[in-house]
Amino acid sequence: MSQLKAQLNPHFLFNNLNVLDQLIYEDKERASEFLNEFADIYRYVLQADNLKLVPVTEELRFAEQYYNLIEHKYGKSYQLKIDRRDREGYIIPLTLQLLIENAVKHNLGTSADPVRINISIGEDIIVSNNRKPKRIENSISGKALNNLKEQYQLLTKQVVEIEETELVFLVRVPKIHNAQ
Amino acid sequence: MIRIAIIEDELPAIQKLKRFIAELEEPTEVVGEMGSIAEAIEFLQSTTVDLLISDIQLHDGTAFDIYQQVSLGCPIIFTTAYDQYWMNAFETNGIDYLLKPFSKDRFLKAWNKFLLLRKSEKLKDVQLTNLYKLIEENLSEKKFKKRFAVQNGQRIYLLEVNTVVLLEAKDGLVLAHDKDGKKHILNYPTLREAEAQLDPADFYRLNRSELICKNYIEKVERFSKNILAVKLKGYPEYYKTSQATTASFREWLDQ
Repeated sequence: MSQLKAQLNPHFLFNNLNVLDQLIYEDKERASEFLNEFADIYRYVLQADNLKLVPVTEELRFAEQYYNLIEHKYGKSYQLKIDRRDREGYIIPLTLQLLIENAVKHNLGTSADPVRINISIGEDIIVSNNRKPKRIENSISGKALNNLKEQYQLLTKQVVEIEETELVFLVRVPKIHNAQ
Repeated sequence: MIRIAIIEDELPAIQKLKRFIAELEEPTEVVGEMGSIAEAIEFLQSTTVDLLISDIQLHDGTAFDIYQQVSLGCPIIFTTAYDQYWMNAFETNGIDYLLKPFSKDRFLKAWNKFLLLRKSEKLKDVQLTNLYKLIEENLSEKKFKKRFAVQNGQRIYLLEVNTVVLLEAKDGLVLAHDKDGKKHILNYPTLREAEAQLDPADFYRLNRSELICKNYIEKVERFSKNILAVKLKGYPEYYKTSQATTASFREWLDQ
Protein backbone atom coordinates (compact mmCIF):
# COMPACT_ATOMS: atom_id res chain seq x y z
CA MET A 1 0.00 0.00 0.00
CA SER A 2 2.89 2.33 0.62
CA GLN A 3 3.54 2.29 -3.14
CA LEU A 4 0.07 3.63 -3.81
CA LYS A 5 0.31 6.14 -1.03
CA ALA A 6 3.38 7.52 -2.67
CA GLN A 7 1.10 8.74 -5.42
CA LEU A 8 -0.03 11.51 -3.11
CA ASN A 9 3.47 12.79 -2.69
CA PRO A 10 4.77 16.13 -1.45
CA HIS A 11 4.59 17.39 -5.02
CA PHE A 12 0.86 16.78 -4.97
CA LEU A 13 0.45 18.47 -1.60
CA PHE A 14 2.34 21.66 -2.38
CA ASN A 15 0.93 22.04 -5.86
CA ASN A 16 -2.55 21.96 -4.41
CA LEU A 17 -1.67 24.45 -1.70
CA ASN A 18 -0.57 26.82 -4.45
CA VAL A 19 -3.85 26.30 -6.28
CA LEU A 20 -5.66 27.00 -3.03
CA ASP A 21 -3.74 30.25 -2.61
CA GLN A 22 -5.09 31.53 -5.92
CA LEU A 23 -8.63 30.28 -5.27
CA ILE A 24 -8.71 32.16 -1.95
CA TYR A 25 -8.08 35.31 -3.94
CA GLU A 26 -10.49 34.50 -6.76
CA ASP A 27 -13.43 32.93 -5.00
CA LYS A 28 -13.76 32.26 -1.27
CA GLU A 29 -16.43 29.61 -1.67
CA ARG A 30 -14.60 27.67 -4.33
CA ALA A 31 -11.48 27.85 -2.22
CA SER A 32 -13.34 26.41 0.77
CA GLU A 33 -14.80 23.65 -1.39
CA PHE A 34 -11.38 22.86 -2.76
CA LEU A 35 -9.83 22.79 0.70
CA ASN A 36 -12.44 20.40 2.07
CA GLU A 37 -12.12 18.10 -0.90
CA PHE A 38 -8.40 18.13 -0.56
CA ALA A 39 -8.64 17.31 3.16
CA ASP A 40 -11.00 14.43 2.43
CA ILE A 41 -8.61 13.07 -0.15
CA TYR A 42 -5.70 13.22 2.19
CA ARG A 43 -7.66 11.58 5.00
CA TYR A 44 -8.82 8.84 2.67
CA VAL A 45 -5.27 8.11 1.60
CA LEU A 46 -4.01 8.03 5.18
CA GLN A 47 -6.79 5.68 6.26
CA ALA A 48 -6.37 3.54 3.18
CA ASP A 49 -2.99 2.65 4.54
CA ASN A 50 -4.59 0.59 7.30
CA LEU A 51 -7.21 -1.19 5.24
CA LYS A 52 -6.82 -3.73 2.56
CA LEU A 53 -10.15 -3.39 0.84
CA VAL A 54 -12.85 -0.73 0.72
CA PRO A 55 -16.42 -0.79 -0.61
CA VAL A 56 -16.59 0.25 -4.25
CA THR A 57 -18.99 3.09 -3.35
CA GLU A 58 -16.40 4.66 -1.06
CA GLU A 59 -13.66 4.45 -3.64
CA LEU A 60 -16.04 5.96 -6.20
CA ARG A 61 -16.76 8.95 -3.98
CA PHE A 62 -13.05 9.40 -3.49
CA ALA A 63 -12.43 9.15 -7.24
CA GLU A 64 -14.92 11.93 -7.84
CA GLN A 65 -13.27 14.16 -5.28
CA TYR A 66 -9.90 13.46 -6.78
CA TYR A 67 -11.25 14.31 -10.20
CA ASN A 68 -12.62 17.61 -8.87
CA LEU A 69 -9.08 18.63 -7.94
CA ILE A 70 -8.00 17.89 -11.48
CA GLU A 71 -10.87 19.92 -12.85
CA HIS A 72 -9.88 22.88 -10.69
CA LYS A 73 -6.41 22.70 -12.16
CA TYR A 74 -6.93 21.81 -15.80
CA GLY A 75 -10.45 23.00 -16.48
CA LYS A 76 -12.38 20.99 -19.06
CA SER A 77 -9.30 19.37 -20.58
CA TYR A 78 -10.03 16.17 -18.68
CA GLN A 79 -13.56 14.86 -18.23
CA LEU A 80 -14.88 12.07 -16.07
CA LYS A 81 -17.99 9.95 -16.56
CA ILE A 82 -19.06 7.30 -14.12
CA ASP A 83 -21.47 4.52 -14.99
CA ARG A 84 -22.76 2.75 -11.85
CA ARG A 85 -24.62 -0.35 -12.89
CA ASP A 86 -23.59 -2.56 -10.01
CA ARG A 87 -22.13 -0.84 -6.98
CA GLU A 88 -21.81 -3.91 -4.81
CA GLY A 89 -18.42 -5.34 -3.91
CA TYR A 90 -15.01 -4.21 -2.81
CA ILE A 91 -11.91 -2.74 -4.31
CA ILE A 92 -8.32 -2.08 -3.30
CA PRO A 93 -8.28 1.55 -2.15
CA LEU A 94 -6.76 4.15 -4.49
CA THR A 95 -7.22 1.88 -7.52
CA LEU A 96 -9.47 4.37 -9.31
CA GLN A 97 -7.36 7.33 -8.23
CA LEU A 98 -4.29 5.72 -9.72
CA LEU A 99 -6.03 4.96 -13.00
CA ILE A 100 -7.39 8.51 -13.30
CA GLU A 101 -3.98 9.91 -12.47
CA ASN A 102 -2.42 7.70 -15.12
CA ALA A 103 -4.88 8.85 -17.77
CA VAL A 104 -4.05 12.48 -16.98
CA LYS A 105 -0.35 11.82 -16.82
CA HIS A 106 -0.06 10.05 -20.15
CA ASN A 107 -2.61 11.93 -22.23
CA LEU A 108 -2.67 15.54 -23.21
CA GLY A 109 -6.16 16.98 -23.09
CA THR A 110 -7.22 20.44 -24.21
CA SER A 111 -10.59 22.08 -23.68
CA ALA A 112 -11.22 21.77 -27.43
CA ASP A 113 -10.13 18.16 -27.53
CA PRO A 114 -10.50 16.70 -24.05
CA VAL A 115 -9.40 13.39 -22.63
CA ARG A 116 -12.58 11.54 -21.60
CA ILE A 117 -12.18 9.14 -18.74
CA ASN A 118 -14.93 6.57 -18.25
CA ILE A 119 -15.42 4.48 -15.16
CA SER A 120 -17.86 1.63 -15.55
CA ILE A 121 -18.87 -0.43 -12.52
CA GLY A 122 -20.44 -3.72 -13.56
CA GLU A 123 -19.17 -7.29 -13.18
CA ASP A 124 -15.73 -5.82 -13.38
CA ILE A 125 -14.51 -2.32 -12.90
CA ILE A 126 -13.45 -0.81 -16.20
CA VAL A 127 -11.55 2.42 -16.51
CA SER A 128 -10.93 3.63 -20.04
CA ASN A 129 -9.96 6.77 -21.88
CA ASN A 130 -9.43 8.00 -25.41
CA ARG A 131 -5.70 8.11 -26.13
CA LYS A 132 -3.95 11.39 -26.81
CA PRO A 133 -0.38 10.47 -26.11
CA LYS A 134 1.96 13.22 -25.03
CA ARG A 135 4.84 13.80 -27.37
CA ILE A 136 7.42 13.36 -24.67
CA GLU A 137 6.57 10.32 -22.59
CA ASN A 138 7.54 10.10 -18.95
CA SER A 139 10.39 7.69 -18.67
CA ILE A 140 8.88 5.81 -15.72
CA SER A 141 5.56 5.15 -17.42
CA GLY A 142 3.87 1.93 -16.42
CA LYS A 143 5.44 1.72 -13.00
CA ALA A 144 2.32 2.59 -11.06
CA LEU A 145 0.19 0.26 -13.14
CA ASN A 146 2.57 -2.62 -12.56
CA ASN A 147 2.36 -2.02 -8.84
CA LEU A 148 -1.40 -2.20 -9.04
CA LYS A 149 -1.22 -5.48 -10.94
CA GLU A 150 1.08 -6.98 -8.32
CA GLN A 151 -1.22 -5.78 -5.57
CA TYR A 152 -4.19 -7.57 -7.09
CA GLN A 153 -2.18 -10.69 -7.77
CA LEU A 154 -1.07 -10.79 -4.17
CA LEU A 155 -4.40 -9.98 -2.57
CA THR A 156 -6.95 -11.64 -4.84
CA LYS A 157 -5.00 -13.96 -7.13
CA GLN A 158 -6.88 -12.23 -9.93
CA VAL A 159 -5.50 -10.50 -12.97
CA VAL A 160 -5.74 -6.85 -13.96
CA GLU A 161 -6.20 -6.77 -17.72
CA ILE A 162 -4.99 -3.99 -19.95
CA GLU A 163 -6.32 -3.43 -23.44
CA GLU A 164 -4.54 -0.89 -25.55
CA THR A 165 -5.39 0.21 -29.07
CA GLU A 166 -4.38 3.27 -31.01
CA LEU A 167 -7.47 5.11 -29.84
CA VAL A 168 -8.40 3.64 -26.47
CA PHE A 169 -6.62 2.66 -23.29
CA LEU A 170 -8.64 0.35 -21.06
CA VAL A 171 -7.96 -1.30 -17.71
CA ARG A 172 -10.21 -4.05 -16.39
CA VAL A 173 -9.99 -4.53 -12.64
CA PRO A 174 -11.69 -7.56 -11.06
CA LYS A 175 -14.33 -6.73 -8.47
CA ILE A 176 -13.92 -8.43 -5.13
CA HIS A 177 -17.13 -9.80 -3.71
CA ASN A 178 -15.93 -10.86 -0.31
CA ALA A 179 -14.03 -8.40 1.87
CA GLN A 180 -12.43 -11.24 3.84
CA MET B 1 8.11 46.82 -21.76
CA ILE B 2 9.34 43.60 -20.17
CA ARG B 3 8.13 40.59 -22.15
CA ILE B 4 7.30 37.57 -20.02
CA ALA B 5 6.27 34.03 -20.95
CA ILE B 6 4.72 31.58 -18.50
CA ILE B 7 5.09 27.83 -18.69
CA GLU B 8 2.56 26.30 -16.30
CA ASP B 9 -0.13 23.68 -16.73
CA GLU B 10 -2.43 24.47 -13.82
CA LEU B 11 -4.96 27.20 -14.49
CA PRO B 12 -5.08 28.70 -10.98
CA ALA B 13 -1.28 28.73 -10.85
CA ILE B 14 -1.23 30.71 -14.12
CA GLN B 15 -3.83 33.13 -12.74
CA LYS B 16 -1.78 33.62 -9.61
CA LEU B 17 1.37 34.44 -11.58
CA LYS B 18 -0.51 36.82 -13.86
CA ARG B 19 -2.02 38.56 -10.84
CA PHE B 20 1.43 39.04 -9.27
CA ILE B 21 2.84 40.26 -12.59
CA ALA B 22 -0.02 42.74 -13.08
CA GLU B 23 0.72 44.22 -9.66
CA LEU B 24 4.35 45.00 -10.53
CA GLU B 25 5.44 48.61 -10.91
CA GLU B 26 7.43 47.97 -14.06
CA PRO B 27 5.57 47.82 -17.40
CA THR B 28 5.21 44.17 -18.34
CA GLU B 29 3.45 42.06 -20.91
CA VAL B 30 2.66 38.35 -20.69
CA VAL B 31 3.29 37.32 -24.29
CA GLY B 32 2.77 33.59 -23.93
CA GLU B 33 1.14 30.98 -21.70
CA MET B 34 2.14 27.42 -22.42
CA GLY B 35 0.75 24.38 -20.67
CA SER B 36 2.98 21.70 -22.11
CA ILE B 37 6.54 21.00 -23.14
CA ALA B 38 5.51 20.65 -26.78
CA GLU B 39 3.76 24.05 -26.82
CA ALA B 40 6.65 25.72 -25.02
CA ILE B 41 9.22 24.41 -27.50
CA GLU B 42 7.16 25.61 -30.43
CA PHE B 43 6.65 29.05 -28.88
CA LEU B 44 10.23 29.60 -27.80
CA GLN B 45 11.62 28.63 -31.18
CA SER B 46 9.85 31.56 -32.78
CA THR B 47 9.57 34.17 -30.03
CA THR B 48 12.09 35.93 -27.85
CA VAL B 49 11.15 37.04 -24.37
CA ASP B 50 12.91 38.89 -21.55
CA LEU B 51 11.93 36.48 -18.82
CA LEU B 52 10.51 32.98 -18.53
CA ILE B 53 8.58 31.86 -15.50
CA SER B 54 8.49 28.11 -15.72
CA ASP B 55 6.96 25.27 -13.74
CA ILE B 56 9.25 22.26 -13.70
CA GLN B 57 6.93 19.27 -13.74
CA LEU B 58 4.47 19.49 -16.60
CA HIS B 59 2.02 17.05 -18.14
CA ASP B 60 4.40 15.83 -20.76
CA GLY B 61 7.75 15.92 -19.03
CA THR B 62 9.96 18.27 -17.08
CA ALA B 63 10.83 21.78 -18.18
CA PHE B 64 14.43 20.69 -18.65
CA ASP B 65 13.31 18.83 -21.77
CA ILE B 66 12.52 22.27 -23.24
CA TYR B 67 15.94 23.67 -22.55
CA GLN B 68 17.62 20.69 -24.11
CA GLN B 69 15.87 21.47 -27.37
CA VAL B 70 15.76 25.24 -27.41
CA SER B 71 18.74 27.42 -26.60
CA LEU B 72 17.51 30.31 -24.54
CA GLY B 73 18.99 33.75 -24.12
CA CYS B 74 16.74 34.88 -21.29
CA PRO B 75 16.77 34.20 -17.56
CA ILE B 76 14.28 31.75 -16.04
CA ILE B 77 12.47 31.86 -12.71
CA PHE B 78 11.44 28.31 -11.89
CA THR B 79 8.37 27.48 -9.88
CA THR B 80 7.84 24.06 -8.44
CA ALA B 81 5.96 22.30 -5.69
CA TYR B 82 8.85 20.17 -4.60
CA ASP B 83 12.53 20.84 -4.44
CA GLN B 84 14.03 17.72 -5.93
CA TYR B 85 15.03 19.59 -9.08
CA TRP B 86 16.74 22.65 -7.73
CA MET B 87 20.21 21.56 -8.82
CA ASN B 88 19.09 21.12 -12.43
CA ALA B 89 17.43 24.52 -12.29
CA PHE B 90 20.71 26.32 -11.89
CA GLU B 91 22.39 24.37 -14.65
CA THR B 92 20.08 26.18 -17.07
CA ASN B 93 19.44 29.93 -17.11
CA GLY B 94 17.66 29.68 -13.79
CA ILE B 95 18.07 32.75 -11.59
CA ASP B 96 15.64 31.81 -8.84
CA TYR B 97 13.50 28.98 -7.63
CA LEU B 98 10.03 29.56 -6.20
CA LEU B 99 8.61 26.80 -4.07
CA LYS B 100 4.84 26.49 -4.31
CA PRO B 101 2.89 27.85 -2.64
CA PHE B 102 4.89 31.09 -2.72
CA SER B 103 3.93 34.47 -1.30
CA LYS B 104 3.86 37.79 -3.12
CA ASP B 105 6.97 38.80 -1.17
CA ARG B 106 8.86 35.75 -2.30
CA PHE B 107 7.78 36.40 -5.88
CA LEU B 108 8.98 40.01 -5.61
CA LYS B 109 12.34 38.82 -4.35
CA ALA B 110 12.77 36.74 -7.50
CA TRP B 111 11.53 39.65 -9.62
CA ASN B 112 14.03 42.05 -8.09
CA LYS B 113 16.77 39.56 -8.78
CA PHE B 114 15.69 39.58 -12.39
CA LEU B 115 15.68 43.41 -12.47
CA LEU B 116 19.14 43.55 -10.96
CA LEU B 117 20.42 41.11 -13.55
CA ARG B 118 18.75 43.08 -16.32
CA LYS B 119 20.31 46.31 -15.08
CA SER B 120 23.78 44.84 -14.94
CA GLU B 121 23.28 43.36 -18.40
CA LYS B 122 22.38 46.82 -19.66
CA LEU B 123 25.41 48.26 -17.89
CA LYS B 124 27.54 45.65 -19.59
CA ASP B 125 26.03 46.73 -22.88
CA VAL B 126 26.93 50.36 -22.21
CA GLN B 127 30.46 49.41 -21.23
CA LEU B 128 30.79 47.33 -24.35
CA THR B 129 29.55 50.19 -26.54
CA ASN B 130 32.05 52.53 -24.96
CA LEU B 131 34.80 50.03 -25.56
CA TYR B 132 33.84 49.67 -29.21
CA LYS B 133 33.87 53.45 -29.54
CA LEU B 134 37.31 53.64 -28.02
CA ILE B 135 38.65 50.94 -30.32
CA GLU B 136 37.08 52.60 -33.32
CA GLU B 137 38.58 55.96 -32.46
CA ASN B 138 42.01 54.45 -32.10
CA LEU B 139 41.88 52.26 -35.16
CA SER B 140 40.41 54.71 -37.59
CA GLU B 141 42.71 57.38 -38.97
CA LYS B 142 42.63 60.39 -36.81
CA LYS B 143 41.45 63.49 -38.56
CA PHE B 144 44.00 66.27 -38.58
CA LYS B 145 43.54 69.84 -39.47
CA LYS B 146 43.91 70.73 -43.15
CA ARG B 147 43.62 74.48 -42.78
CA PHE B 148 43.51 77.17 -40.13
CA ALA B 149 40.94 79.94 -40.01
CA VAL B 150 42.97 83.08 -39.36
CA GLN B 151 41.41 86.27 -38.07
CA ASN B 152 42.83 89.51 -39.36
CA GLY B 153 40.89 92.44 -37.94
CA GLN B 154 37.31 92.02 -39.20
CA ARG B 155 38.45 89.57 -41.86
CA ILE B 156 38.85 85.81 -41.68
CA TYR B 157 40.93 83.94 -44.22
CA LEU B 158 42.06 80.36 -44.59
CA LEU B 159 45.64 79.21 -44.26
CA GLU B 160 46.35 75.78 -45.80
CA VAL B 161 48.31 73.59 -43.39
CA ASN B 162 50.45 72.26 -46.25
CA THR B 163 51.85 75.76 -46.80
CA VAL B 164 53.03 76.06 -43.22
CA VAL B 165 56.77 75.75 -42.71
CA LEU B 166 57.00 76.57 -39.04
CA LEU B 167 54.85 77.26 -35.99
CA GLU B 168 56.32 79.48 -33.37
CA ALA B 169 55.30 80.52 -29.88
CA LYS B 170 56.30 84.11 -29.36
CA ASP B 171 55.16 86.81 -26.92
CA GLY B 172 52.16 84.71 -25.87
CA LEU B 173 51.01 84.21 -29.47
CA VAL B 174 51.17 81.24 -31.77
CA LEU B 175 52.52 82.28 -35.16
CA ALA B 176 52.46 80.31 -38.38
CA HIS B 177 55.19 81.05 -40.93
CA ASP B 178 54.23 80.05 -44.46
CA LYS B 179 56.40 79.08 -47.45
CA ASP B 180 56.25 82.66 -48.75
CA GLY B 181 57.71 84.00 -45.50
CA LYS B 182 54.45 85.50 -44.28
CA LYS B 183 53.38 85.39 -40.63
CA HIS B 184 49.87 84.50 -39.41
CA ILE B 185 48.52 84.73 -35.88
CA LEU B 186 46.69 81.51 -35.04
CA ASN B 187 43.79 81.32 -32.64
CA TYR B 188 45.50 78.95 -30.15
CA PRO B 189 46.48 79.88 -26.63
CA THR B 190 49.55 77.61 -26.68
CA LEU B 191 51.78 75.88 -29.17
CA ARG B 192 50.88 72.54 -27.57
CA GLU B 193 47.21 72.98 -28.51
CA ALA B 194 48.08 73.81 -32.12
CA GLU B 195 50.35 70.77 -32.22
CA ALA B 196 47.53 68.47 -31.12
CA GLN B 197 45.61 69.41 -34.30
CA LEU B 198 48.45 68.49 -36.65
CA ASP B 199 49.67 65.17 -37.99
CA PRO B 200 52.75 64.19 -35.94
CA ALA B 201 54.19 62.52 -39.04
CA ASP B 202 54.45 65.97 -40.68
CA PHE B 203 55.17 68.27 -37.74
CA TYR B 204 57.79 68.00 -35.09
CA ARG B 205 58.21 70.03 -31.93
CA LEU B 206 61.92 70.91 -31.98
CA ASN B 207 61.85 72.69 -28.64
CA ARG B 208 59.53 74.60 -26.37
CA SER B 209 58.71 77.30 -28.88
CA GLU B 210 59.20 75.82 -32.37
CA LEU B 211 57.23 73.28 -34.39
CA ILE B 212 58.61 72.50 -37.85
CA CYS B 213 57.18 70.83 -40.95
CA LYS B 214 59.07 67.90 -42.47
CA ASN B 215 58.17 68.85 -46.06
CA TYR B 216 60.08 72.12 -45.80
CA ILE B 217 63.31 70.83 -44.32
CA GLU B 218 66.18 71.80 -46.58
CA LYS B 219 68.99 70.24 -44.56
CA VAL B 220 70.00 69.10 -41.11
CA GLU B 221 73.46 69.79 -39.73
CA ARG B 222 75.31 68.83 -36.61
CA PHE B 223 75.49 71.89 -34.36
CA SER B 224 77.23 70.43 -31.32
CA LYS B 225 77.68 66.99 -29.78
CA ASN B 226 74.00 66.52 -28.90
CA ILE B 227 72.26 69.20 -30.88
CA LEU B 228 71.22 69.37 -34.51
CA ALA B 229 70.54 72.49 -36.57
CA VAL B 230 67.73 72.45 -39.13
CA LYS B 231 67.59 74.71 -42.18
CA LEU B 232 64.08 75.29 -43.58
CA LYS B 233 63.34 76.19 -47.20
CA GLY B 234 62.97 79.91 -47.69
CA TYR B 235 64.21 80.73 -44.16
CA PRO B 236 67.76 81.81 -43.52
CA GLU B 237 67.87 80.85 -39.82
CA TYR B 238 68.84 77.53 -38.35
CA TYR B 239 66.41 75.94 -35.88
CA LYS B 240 68.05 73.90 -33.15
CA THR B 241 66.93 70.75 -31.39
CA SER B 242 67.35 70.54 -27.64
CA GLN B 243 69.49 67.89 -25.96
CA ALA B 244 66.29 66.13 -24.91
CA THR B 245 64.73 66.00 -28.39
CA THR B 246 67.68 65.17 -30.64
CA ALA B 247 67.27 61.39 -30.52
CA SER B 248 63.56 61.39 -31.20
CA PHE B 249 64.01 64.03 -33.91
CA ARG B 250 66.33 61.65 -35.76
CA GLU B 251 63.70 58.92 -35.56
CA TRP B 252 61.00 61.26 -36.81
CA LEU B 253 63.15 62.27 -39.80
CA ASP B 254 63.39 58.63 -40.90
CA GLN B 255 59.67 57.94 -40.75
